[in-house]
Amino acid sequence: MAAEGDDLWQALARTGESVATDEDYEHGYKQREVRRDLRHYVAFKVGAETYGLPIAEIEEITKIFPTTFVPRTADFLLGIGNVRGRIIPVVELSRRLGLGSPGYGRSARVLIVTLDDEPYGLLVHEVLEVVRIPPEAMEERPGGISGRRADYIRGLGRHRGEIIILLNLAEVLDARDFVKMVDDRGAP
Amino acid sequence: MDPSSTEFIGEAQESVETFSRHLLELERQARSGSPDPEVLNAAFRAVHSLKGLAGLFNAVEVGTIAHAVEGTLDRLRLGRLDLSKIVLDVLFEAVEFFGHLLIPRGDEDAPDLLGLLERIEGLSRAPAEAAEETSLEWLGEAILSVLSEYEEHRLRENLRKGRSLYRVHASFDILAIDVGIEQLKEKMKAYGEVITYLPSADSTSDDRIDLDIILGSDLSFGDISAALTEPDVAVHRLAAPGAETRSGGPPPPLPPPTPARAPEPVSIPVAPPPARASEPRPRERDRDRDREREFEGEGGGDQSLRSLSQTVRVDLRRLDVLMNLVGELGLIQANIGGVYESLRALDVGADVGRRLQAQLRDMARKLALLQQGILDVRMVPIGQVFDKLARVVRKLSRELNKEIRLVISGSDTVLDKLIVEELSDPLMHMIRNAIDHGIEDADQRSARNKAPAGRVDLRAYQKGNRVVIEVEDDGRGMDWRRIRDVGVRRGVVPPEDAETMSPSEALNLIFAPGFSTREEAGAVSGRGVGMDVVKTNIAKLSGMIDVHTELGRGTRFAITLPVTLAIIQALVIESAGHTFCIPLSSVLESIMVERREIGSIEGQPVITLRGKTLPLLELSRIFGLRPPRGHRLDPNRIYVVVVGLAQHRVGLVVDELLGQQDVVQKPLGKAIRNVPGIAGATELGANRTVLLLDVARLVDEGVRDINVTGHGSAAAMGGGHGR
Repeated sequence: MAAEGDDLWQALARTGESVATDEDYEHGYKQREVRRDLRHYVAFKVGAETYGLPIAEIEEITKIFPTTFVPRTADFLLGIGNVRGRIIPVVELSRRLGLGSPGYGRSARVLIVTLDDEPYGLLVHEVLEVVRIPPEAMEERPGGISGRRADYIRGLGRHRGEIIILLNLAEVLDARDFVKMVDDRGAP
Repeated sequence: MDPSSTEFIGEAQESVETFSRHLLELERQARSGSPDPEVLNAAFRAVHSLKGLAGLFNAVEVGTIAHAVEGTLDRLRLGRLDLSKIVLDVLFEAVEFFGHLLIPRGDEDAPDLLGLLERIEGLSRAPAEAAEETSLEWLGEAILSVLSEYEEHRLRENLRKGRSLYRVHASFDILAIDVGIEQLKEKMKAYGEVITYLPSADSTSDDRIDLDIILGSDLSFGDISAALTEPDVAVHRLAAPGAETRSGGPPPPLPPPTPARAPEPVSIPVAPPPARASEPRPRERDRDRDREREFEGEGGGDQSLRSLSQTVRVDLRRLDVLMNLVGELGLIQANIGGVYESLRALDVGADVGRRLQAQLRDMARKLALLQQGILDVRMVPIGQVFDKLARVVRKLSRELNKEIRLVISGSDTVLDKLIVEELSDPLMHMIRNAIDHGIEDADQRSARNKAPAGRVDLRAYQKGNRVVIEVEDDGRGMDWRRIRDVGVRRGVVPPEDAETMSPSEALNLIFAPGFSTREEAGAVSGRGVGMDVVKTNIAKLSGMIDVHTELGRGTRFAITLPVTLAIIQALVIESAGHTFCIPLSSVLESIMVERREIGSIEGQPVITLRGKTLPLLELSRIFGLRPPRGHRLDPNRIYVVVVGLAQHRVGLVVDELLGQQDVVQKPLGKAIRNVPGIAGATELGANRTVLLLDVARLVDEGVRDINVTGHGSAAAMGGGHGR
């Protein structure tokens, strides 16, 4: 029996697999599950702040493309553009997040994201990198931020000492906010 | 498999619709005489396949009802049940029931399965009037023993109607027998009813098969003989015209019972043994088995698993994708054209240039064909909706106790599938209104010298690149004064405006939300939601609706629609530096106007167009468009695009008309789908995205604006409509 057990250890060592140790049993495999939870985020700059979105929510990243102004829509909607035959509404994230509209330079990009199977473009100032944030480096939304802006934030992540604001796409792209009320038609 | 799968629902719906169509046909026939057994069989087949389908997909409720209906139809086929009004009612109830089961609608009560089942079974228990069982002994055991119950019933039916029976003996080449039988069958159908095929004893040789076919016909022996006799076909009489049979007397003794296997003296000399009875006829009287076999047989290909239909079901969205691709190919082609132009400017390789140009032209033609091809695939006959409406008419006529004659024409007019779907609700509302409000009660009608049965016409026809659908009744018509007064009572019109209202303006009130001339909401057309919804739905399809009514004579609604929505012809315009497309189907004309021609009625800009006042909507104002820097306009001249939707006409003021173009309409995402006044987007070459205007909405806003501004211009609106 013992020999058999030794063989198993050796075999596992050769293939690089690891076997649960006594400590693992004590933690009920907790650590492993945590490892799987490690998420990839795309970090990008809007104004001076760093934001992040789960990589799975981002379809592609493109340079700025021409958009067509759509009347009677909210200010944060830059317009609609055409990405490979699909009509995509492009949102200026800085306006949506209440950060005004600082100018865009050569590093500006459009993140094409999907929400409920529909594509949207998010105009940002710069795309930084893909970061891995372990759950222990995640923070619930701090109580200090309140009001509508707080709804846009899913949580805060820390990466190399910097705070990354993780966005809640469903709130940022809430369809109810896109269309202006028509009662004041005639007013720009 | 899952009964909620689209595959099941799609196929089942098709069967139900076929069944319903045959049922309507049967009802018509029953009214005018005797139902055609062929139609009854077809109805039976539809239900039979529905039952099979339900079994396959485990749709228990559909299967249960289908089984019961099938049983009822079978009894009808066999003459054990008469096609009475009660029977038809229950069968139509089953049609509705299938509809509810296939597409459950939350707002309705769950259909009562057991109740319906009981009613269907009840039909079966009710004894049909005892058919006099005339003896058929004289036909001879040889024939009688091989007749199935259904065939025997048809034989009796033919005798009862006083038809003569003929035995048609035919001999076929074994290699061409299927074609030969089919041809002969078609030919015989013109003269009477084919009751059965019997294998004949007297085959001439191994490579021929002989059949006896029993035919019932009104024609005399001489006529039938002359019509059918061919080298391999001979006709014999089996019975004299059945006057005696009908009176229940003894069977006519005229022709001595001709046993089917008797030597055949006419066309074939030799008679080898009847070994090759290739036409299988069930010899046992097991009704169920007989039934199944018969229908499988008629469905063709007993053994083959290959499906008979040559059609595929395609999701409309997939066609949209294809259509998009074609649109993009068109853009690429335009780009290549641009490259060619710049090449030509370089003046190199003139010969190669010409070849390129020729290829480009070829490509353009093929692209146009491809586009047309995809559009054609989307086209379906409007008859699909008309069939459903026929059912509605039937139901209403019962509920309201008004006899209605529905006259349908142009069922084969084709429209985009999407439009056809969207049309069914508006048309149903209109039909309901016509029957409930339009058609008078029978005594009122006879007092006015009208036929007691009300007439409703449902017409569709193509007119240029549009389709017109008309719903017309010969009822009491609409009294514009009464409509006006009701409008005042309902608060739709201010009393002070009523005085100056024109007839066409008053008629337009029926499209106002919350308007109904009925004091009490009827169970049928409800209270005043109908025409409002109709107008909205038609406008959504870029359609127009016109009313024409004559007091005491009836009312006609005419809906004009584009043939397709996928590709639309658009007028490209510019306003304050922004480009937009307007669907050409809602553009009546575009004109150039000098600024000084613009008048004003209580602050609302208007122009006079051919003696009528047309309210103007400035696109840049309603959209809040700011012209880009350096944008210059001719201060004196403007363009007015006259658009009309439903019954209103409005002039859109724009800066430039850039031309017409075929465009592929693309939907906007969920977020901006509901921007008022914007219907969608499209591409205009060079990757330029342009918005497509929602004319219906803009006109609506314009009209609201005007109604708020004052009544004076509302009169102008009415003027625009009255034609």
